[in-house]
Amino acid sequence: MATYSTDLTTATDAASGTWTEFGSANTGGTPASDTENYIQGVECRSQTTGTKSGSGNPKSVVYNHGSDLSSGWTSGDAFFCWLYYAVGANLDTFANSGHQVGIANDTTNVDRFTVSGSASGRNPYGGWFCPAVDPEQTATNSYGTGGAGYQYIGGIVYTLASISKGTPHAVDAIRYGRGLISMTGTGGSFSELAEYNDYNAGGTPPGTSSTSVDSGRHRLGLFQESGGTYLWKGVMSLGTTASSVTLTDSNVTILVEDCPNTYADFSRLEIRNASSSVTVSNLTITALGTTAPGNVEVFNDAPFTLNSPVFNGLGTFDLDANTDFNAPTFNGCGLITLNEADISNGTISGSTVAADTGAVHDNRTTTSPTSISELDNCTFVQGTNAHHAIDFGTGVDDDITLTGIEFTGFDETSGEDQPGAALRFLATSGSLTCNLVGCTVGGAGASATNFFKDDAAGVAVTLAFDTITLSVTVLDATDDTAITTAHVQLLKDSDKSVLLSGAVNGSGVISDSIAYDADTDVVGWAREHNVSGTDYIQQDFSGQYTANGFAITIRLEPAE
Amino acid sequence: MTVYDRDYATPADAVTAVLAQFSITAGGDIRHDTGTHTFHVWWLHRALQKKVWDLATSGNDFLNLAKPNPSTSEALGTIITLLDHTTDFSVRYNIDDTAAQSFFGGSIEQQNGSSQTERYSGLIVLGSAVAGTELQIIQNAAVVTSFWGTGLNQTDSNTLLRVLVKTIVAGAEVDKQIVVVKASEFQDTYAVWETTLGLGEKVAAISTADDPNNNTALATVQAYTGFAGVGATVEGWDLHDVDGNGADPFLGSLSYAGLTGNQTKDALYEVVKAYLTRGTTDTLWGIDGDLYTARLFQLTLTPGAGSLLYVQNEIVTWTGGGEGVMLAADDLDEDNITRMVIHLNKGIAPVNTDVITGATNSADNVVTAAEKLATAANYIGVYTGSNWIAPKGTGFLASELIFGDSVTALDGQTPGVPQNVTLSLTVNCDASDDPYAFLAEKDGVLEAPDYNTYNGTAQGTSVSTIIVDAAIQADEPQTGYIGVLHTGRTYYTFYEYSSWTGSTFTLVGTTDAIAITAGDNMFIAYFYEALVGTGATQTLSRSFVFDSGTRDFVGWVRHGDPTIPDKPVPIAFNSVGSNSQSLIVQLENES
Repeated sequence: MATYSTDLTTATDAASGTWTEFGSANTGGTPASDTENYIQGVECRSQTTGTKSGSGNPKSVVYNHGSDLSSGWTSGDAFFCWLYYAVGANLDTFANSGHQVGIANDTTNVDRFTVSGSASGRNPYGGWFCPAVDPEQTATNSYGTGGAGYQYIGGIVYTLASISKGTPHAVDAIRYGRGLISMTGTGGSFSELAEYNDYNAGGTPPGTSSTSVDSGRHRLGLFQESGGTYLWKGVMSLGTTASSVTLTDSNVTILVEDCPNTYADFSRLEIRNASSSVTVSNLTITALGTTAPGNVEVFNDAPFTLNSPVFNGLGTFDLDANTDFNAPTFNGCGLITLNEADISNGTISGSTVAADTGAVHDNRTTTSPTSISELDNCTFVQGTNAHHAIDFGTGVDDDITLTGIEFTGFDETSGEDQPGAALRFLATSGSLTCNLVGCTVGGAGASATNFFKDDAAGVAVTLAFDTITLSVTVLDATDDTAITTAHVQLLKDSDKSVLLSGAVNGSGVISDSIAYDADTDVVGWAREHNVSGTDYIQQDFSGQYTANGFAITIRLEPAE
Repeated sequence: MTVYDRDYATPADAVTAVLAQFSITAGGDIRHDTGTHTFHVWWLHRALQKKVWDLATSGNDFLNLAKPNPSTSEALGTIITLLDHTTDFSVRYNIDDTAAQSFFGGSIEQQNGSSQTERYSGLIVLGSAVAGTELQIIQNAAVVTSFWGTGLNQTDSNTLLRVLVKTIVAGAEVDKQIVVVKASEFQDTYAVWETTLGLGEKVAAISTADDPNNNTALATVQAYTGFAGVGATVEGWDLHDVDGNGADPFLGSLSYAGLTGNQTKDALYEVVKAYLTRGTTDTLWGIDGDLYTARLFQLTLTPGAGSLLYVQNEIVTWTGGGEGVMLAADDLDEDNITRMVIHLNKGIAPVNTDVITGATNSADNVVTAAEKLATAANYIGVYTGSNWIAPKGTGFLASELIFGDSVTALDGQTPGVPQNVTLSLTVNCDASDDPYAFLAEKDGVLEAPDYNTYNGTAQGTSVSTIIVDAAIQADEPQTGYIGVLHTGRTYYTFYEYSSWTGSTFTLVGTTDAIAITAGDNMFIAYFYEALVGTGATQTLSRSFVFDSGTRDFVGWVRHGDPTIPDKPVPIAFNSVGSNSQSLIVQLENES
C-alpha cells in the first residue's frame, strides 16, 4: 500500500481563530462561523455582502493569525487559501482584481494578489477554489503601502452587483508550505492520491502511514479530482529522497493549475529515489497557465517509463538515462534536457525555449562515435518560436549519428550558425561528423541545401547526410579469435555492385561508410585460404543494411 | 610428372602446380593449359579457393576476391562441386573432359550451360596385374578412350589406376553410372569388375597373373586354321549329353575340331581368349571382345503369343531399362520360349515383370526371373592344361570332354564326363595273317573266362534285344558281344550288341532261331572278332566306363590259317582299374 504525504502547515482550519476585514475592503458583513457552506472540516468563515457593490466596495474575510508568518518563511513556499464566492459571474474581471488574496501585517496596508475573476479559473460557475499565492512574488496591487508581513491572510472580492441574501463570500482553511504532495511505497495510484488530497472524512486518510492533516479533514487543494481529470499544483513527488515508489497507472489526465502568483518552478513533477519505478500509459499533462506551467524532473536516474505521453504547454523537462518515453508528444513545452533519456519516435513541436537554444538539450559526453538512438525517428516542429531542434552539449565531440528525424520549420535557407538552424553544437573545440541517416526536412530528404547547423561555439562539425557504416568481422569459429588474413567481399544483392572488398584489419574487421539510400539486401563472402597455416572454408552470408548500417560477424570453420 | 595425392605434404606446392597447369577464365572455365601433373580433386578445390581469396588475378587465372565461391568440398575433399553463379554473376565454374584427365581421387560435379548436372566420378582400381596391362573401362557398351596407358595415379602398390569417368552428362546418368573395368591381356589371366560410380571415388578390383596355359603368341593363335569358326559354328541354345545320361542345355558348343592342325584343348582355350583379348575386333557370340563384360543372365520367360521370332545374337531391350545381346533361347519363337541367356550391355538386368523385346522382329516376352550366371572373364573358364573348369552355361562338344572336365548346364545340372578305360591290343604278325581275338572278364578262381556273369530272361527266337535278369554292370562296354548258352546248345553263341541300358542289350542283328530260356548263362566278350587292319600290325580296342575296383581279363589271339597257322597266344589284362592298358602280341608261326 502506498503512503501519501504533504508538507503543508495549517494556518487555520476556519473553525476558530480571529477573523476580520481589511480596512479598505469592509463593505461586507463581519466574517462569522458558517457550518453550512464549507469545503473542508465542518465549518468556514463567511460574510454577507450587503447592498454595496462595484470597485469601490470590496469585501473581505480575513484570518488574523496573531503573529507574522513571514518570520522563518521559506522562500518558495506559498499560501493555499480555500476561497469561495457564490456567484462567479458577479465578480469583476481578473484584470479588475475580481477575486484576490490579501496578505498583510495589519488590516490597512495589504498586498493584494489577484487569483480569479468573473471569467477566470472555474468561473463563471463560482464555488470553492484554492489558489496558491507566493507572498514573495510581486503583488497585483495593494491597500495602503502594501503588506509587510503575513499575519493577516484573507479573501477579497470585487463584485459587480449587490447580493443581499446569504453569505456569498467565504474563506475556509488556509495553509502554507511548498505545496508538496508525495507518494511512496507500492500499489498507489493517481486516483488514490487525489482521494488523499481531498480526504475530509476525519480520521485516517488513504494509504499506510499517510500524513493526516487536521485530524483527517484536510482538503489540500494540491491534486484534486476534477471531472475525470486531476487539477494539480505544487510539487508532486513520486518517491522521495528517503523512500521509493513503485507506481503503475494508465489513462491519466492532469491539468496543471494556473498559478499566476507563484513562479516558474512552482509546479513540478518529480521522480525521486533510485529504487523508484514509475510506469504510466497514456498520461496527458496540460498546463492551464504559463507562470508555473509544470516542470518534470527525474532524480537519481529512477526508471520512469511513459507510453505515448502527451505534454501540452509544460515547462522544462530534466530527464535521466532511465527515462523511457515511448513516442511522447511535447506541444509548446520548454527545454528538454535529455541526459540520455529515450524519447525516440516523439514529437516536439512549438518549443518555448529561448532563441538560439535547442528544444532538446543533449548533454551527454561522448567518448567514441555514437548513434543518438534516443532521438530516433523524432519529429521536431519549430513553430513560431525560432530555436534549434537539438543542441548538443560540450561533451558531444565525437562523431554522432541521427536517424530518421524529421525537422519541420527550421531554418532551411540562411546557412550555417543561424539561431534557427536545426542543430547546434556547444563543444568549443575539435571536430566531429554528424551523420544524418534517413532524416528529413519538411518531408524531403535532409541535404546540404536544406539543412544547417550551428557550430559557432568552436567545434568543427561536418554534416554527412545518410551515411552508414558497413562492417564485417571475421573470426575463427573454433575459438572466436580474429582471422587477420581474411578477405571479404560485400555486394548489393540487386545489382552485385561492390560495397566492401578487401582484407580485414588486425582485428578481423573490414568496414566502410556509404551514403544510405534505402534498406538494401546485401550478399557477401568471407574467405581465408592463403594456403599458409590454417585455411578456412569460405562462407557466404547475406543480410540487409538499414539506416543503422550493417554489421555482421562471420565465423569461419577451418578447412578439412 | 608428379602425382599430387590428397595428403601431399606441401599444400602450397600442390596449389601452385594446379594453377600453373590450368587456365581459369573470368567466366569460370577451367581448362588444361600445360603440364602433365595429376592431382587429387581436393587440390582443384584448394586452388580455386586460393584464387578467390587473392585480391588480384594472376597469369591466366582470372579469379580474385570479387568472384563468387567456386567450389565446395565434402567427404574429406573427395566430393567437389563446382558452383554455377550464372544468374547473379555470369560465372559458371566448370572443367572439360580434357581437364578432367588430370584429376583423380573423387568426384567433380558441375552444371553445364543449360543448368544441367554433369559429373565426373572417381574410379580407383585396386589389385594387381601383370606388368604392362592396359586396363579397359567399358561404359554404356563402349570402350572409354584410354588416357592412362598401363596405369595412372598409382598412389600405392595396390593401386592400378585412379581416374575420373564422366557419369552424368546433360543431367542424365550415363548407363546408370555403371562401368566395367577389364584386364584382358593375352597370355595373362583375364579379370573384369563392374562397379557403379557416383559421388566421390568408387573401387573396382582387378587381379591378373601370367596364364601358364596361354603361352602361344597372339598372332600365331589368330593364324590358326579355323580360328574364326570356333566362335561362330555352334551358337545359341545347344544340348549336350555329357555323361551319357541324356542331354543338358548349354550355351553354344565350343570345339577344337575345326582347328585343323591344332585340334587340342590348348588351342581352343587360346582361341577363345584371343577373341576376348584387348584391342581385337573378334567377336564371341556376336559380342566384340573388348565389350565382353562377362555379365550373363539366364532369364525365365513367360511364353507369349504372336509367333514372332527372336534372332540369335540380336540386341534385346527391356522395360526396366537395359540392353543386351540375346545369346541363347530354348526356343526362338516367342510363343514357346521359356529360357533366354543374355549378355548385359547396358543398364541392369531385367527383373520380374519386365518385358524383354528383340530388336529384329520385336518378339517380346515377360520376364519372371533373372539368374546372374557365375561367369569367367575369359568366358571359357579355368583350364588346367588338361581339363576345363567351365562356368555355368559354357558348352563344349561333348565328345571332346574328358574325364576331369567340369561343366555346368544352364539347367543347373553338372553332368560328369565318364572315365573311359580302353583295353588295346596290338598284334604283330605276318602281313598275310588274319588274327582273331577273344577277351572276357576272368573267372574269380579259374584261369578262364567267367562264363556266367548274367542269366537270361525268357525270350523268343530271332529277337533284337537280350534281356538279362539283373541290371547290367556299369563298367560293361557300350559295344561288345554277349555270349549266350542257349538251352539246348552246348556252346555259347555270341551276339554283337551296339548299346545297352538297364537290363537290355540292343543287338546289332538278331538272335538265332532259338529261344532264350530264363536262366541261360550269359557273359560279355570284350573281344570276339577279327583284328582291325591288314598287314603286319593289326589292332583292336574296347572301352568301358570305369566303375570301381580292378578286374582281370583273359583271352587269346588265334590265327588258324590252315596254310600258315600261327601259335595261339593267351592274353591277359590284369588288375584293370581306371587306367587303360595295352598289350602287344607277337604271333609266331607253328613250326
